[in-house]
Amino acid sequence: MAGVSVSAERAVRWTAPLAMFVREYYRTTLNLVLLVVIPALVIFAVSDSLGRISQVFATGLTTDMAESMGALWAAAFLTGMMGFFMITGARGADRRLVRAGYRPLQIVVFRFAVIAIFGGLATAASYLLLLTRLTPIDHVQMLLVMYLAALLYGALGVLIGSLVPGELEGSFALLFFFVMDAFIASPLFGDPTGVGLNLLPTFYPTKVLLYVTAGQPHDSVHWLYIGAYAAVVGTLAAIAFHRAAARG
Amino acid sequence: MFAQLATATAMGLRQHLRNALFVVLLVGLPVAFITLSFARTPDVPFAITVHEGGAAVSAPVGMRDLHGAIMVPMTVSFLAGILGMFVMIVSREGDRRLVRAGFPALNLLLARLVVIAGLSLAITAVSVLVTLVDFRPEQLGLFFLVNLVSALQYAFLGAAVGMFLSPMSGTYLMFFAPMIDIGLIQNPMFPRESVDWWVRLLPGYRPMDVLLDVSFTPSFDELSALLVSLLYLAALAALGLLAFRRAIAGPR
Repeated sequence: MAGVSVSAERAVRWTAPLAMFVREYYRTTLNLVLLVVIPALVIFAVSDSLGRISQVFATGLTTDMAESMGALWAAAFLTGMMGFFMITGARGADRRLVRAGYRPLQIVVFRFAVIAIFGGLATAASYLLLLTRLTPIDHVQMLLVMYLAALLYGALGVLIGSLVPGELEGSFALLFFFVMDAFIASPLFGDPTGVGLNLLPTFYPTKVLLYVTAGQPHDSVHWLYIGAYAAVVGTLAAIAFHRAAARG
Repeated sequence: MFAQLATATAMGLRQHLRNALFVVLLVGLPVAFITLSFARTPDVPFAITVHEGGAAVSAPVGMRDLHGAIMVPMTVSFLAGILGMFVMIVSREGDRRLVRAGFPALNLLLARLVVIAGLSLAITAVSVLVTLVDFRPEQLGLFFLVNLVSALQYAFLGAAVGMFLSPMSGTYLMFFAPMIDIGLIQNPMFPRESVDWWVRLLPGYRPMDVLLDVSFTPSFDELSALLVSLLYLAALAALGLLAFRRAIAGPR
């Protein structure tokens, strides 16, 4: 009996903070509404424009590719902002959890789990909206690359949120990556070959996504780059967040 | 009244400007965005329709210059919009207390709007200066003015948003609104003569007409578009005022 009680208590210690973190997000109904509205706006209203820009630049991008890119950007940027605001808005709650006996590492795990959940939701919303516009040739690869891009931005949001103290400055820092990815290194303006552009978060996810959308074979080493990038950013984010949580 | 306004404005400006990272980003982001957009855009010939002497004419412009010119209102709208929102978010709790303590609500609002306008002016100045390295607009003074109008429109919109929304919801909106409005829907690479009615209602529509005229033609032909843009700006400032009254100075 006592054993059951101990294991139940242990389960509660794992599920309670997780539920609390999830609630932090969905108790603001508008966050959930925007999770659907923003991908819809980006995909529906913007994809035609993107398609026409690419014709001007003769980059060979099709409207399908532009729509896929819109979906990937929406999922990634939404998750990035969510990761960032989760960290900046949760310092007090994390401090209380540490005082209640949770290890900083556990809090890091919980926070990343929540980002994985909401990154999945943002990806699912974007993908379902995308399905109303096109029929992907390879659902698994397309969904996977969008989800990885979302996780990558989520980790980037955590990293910025852990390192930059203010929400305004952190939003500006996140905006840097957002504009660089969507407007400067975008394949709409030709193959991005400039120095350092391949270091941008969605550089390789976008490359893979475009090949998958077109049903063309692509270099599998790009998956490796995406995985390596996600591992590096994720590790840096976990270290930075762990240090911040441990400081209290 | 003036002394209170001056004190509140000075304190608001100091609060932001003493943050070195904020200043670095405020200057560094326009430099990065605009310089790189000129560097990255292929110099493809392209023609846009502008008004010259009352007639619509086709003006040949380089794609690099066109993209660079569009990048200025986009950059200032992004930055000013987020800034306007956070100026209000950061100060709304303190402002509520100040109003309860007897500080005139109008003075407080004016101080916040002056802070937002001052920082928007700085963002616009940096953005226009960095643009001049790669591109010289035909009518520089009006080019600056119309970009300032774009910055202030989104700054006041951000201020109104910042009175009610959470930082995350507000940032969602203020990241995607300029991207969709100025970066894509108002993009002059698409025909602008027969756009849908709702496109004309967006903040970026009229300023884009003015921007194209002052960037690529030697004479000013978009006075009515500029006046409508200024009216739109006044309406957004009024929206900010109403939002402030409701959130800070309203009945408790």
